[in-house]
Amino acid sequence: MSAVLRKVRAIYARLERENRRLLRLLAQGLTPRQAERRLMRGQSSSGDAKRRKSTSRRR
Amino acid sequence: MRLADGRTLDDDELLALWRHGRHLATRYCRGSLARLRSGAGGFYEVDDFWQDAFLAFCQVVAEWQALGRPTDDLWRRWGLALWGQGIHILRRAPQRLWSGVQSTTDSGQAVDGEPAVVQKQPQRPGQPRLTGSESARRSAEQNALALDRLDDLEGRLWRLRPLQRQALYMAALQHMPAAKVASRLGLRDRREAYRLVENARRRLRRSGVMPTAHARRPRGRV
Repeated sequence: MSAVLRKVRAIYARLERENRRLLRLLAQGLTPRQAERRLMRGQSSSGDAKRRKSTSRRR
Repeated sequence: MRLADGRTLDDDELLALWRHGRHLATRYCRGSLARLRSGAGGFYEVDDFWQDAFLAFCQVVAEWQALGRPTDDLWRRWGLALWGQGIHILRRAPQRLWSGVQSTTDSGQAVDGEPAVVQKQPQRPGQPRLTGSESARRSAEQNALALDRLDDLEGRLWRLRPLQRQALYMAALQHMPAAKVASRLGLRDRREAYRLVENARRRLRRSGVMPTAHARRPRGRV
């Protein structure tokens, strides 16, 4: 059960982190769309970094 | 989870507290658990209840830690959170189960000041009694299945637009009314919050994560 609960907590924490990031961007004066784009860019760049890391590891 | 003294409560400490919290929840919500086990919750099953109960417990622990009170206070708060056989958890979105507190009572328990419970359900005829190793294997299988479902849910959630995901998170997990979600997210009005949540629900439903039928929703909630 604890592995399941850890996973639930991880998803919850991930949502909470994104929520804080989004509210911070909105507090900086960005529009909801701009804040959303900024978040999506952050997600894709972290995804790119992970992909680059795994590719270099394979090489 | 951050404590009053700035230290972060690690997973093992939280899970150690949860072991007792779960034990209390099993006692206090026995009737609800029996109903869920018999299928009265529809798509919402016992595992779903335990996941929601755990999140509710995390919130109670965070509030308790912020106040720096003794451990007894945590269990008092957790007992209050489980009032009415855990009806606060069962009524939450999206499950919104059972509009009233269960009326089944056990007078002996009620006199002791503990929440009312239903009698233990007898074993179904024809249902084989599980041995220890069989039960452990089944439990491991159920855990693996639950982890797969959670992985799937996480993947699908992260395929939503961030505003949809956050509107859904604030409405369903933080229990915010639509007007508040709209003001926090800088949306024009609450109708835009409704639309974001509805689109998120529709996309998750299409992908099989959300149930297709919903109970009636209270006014002002998304």
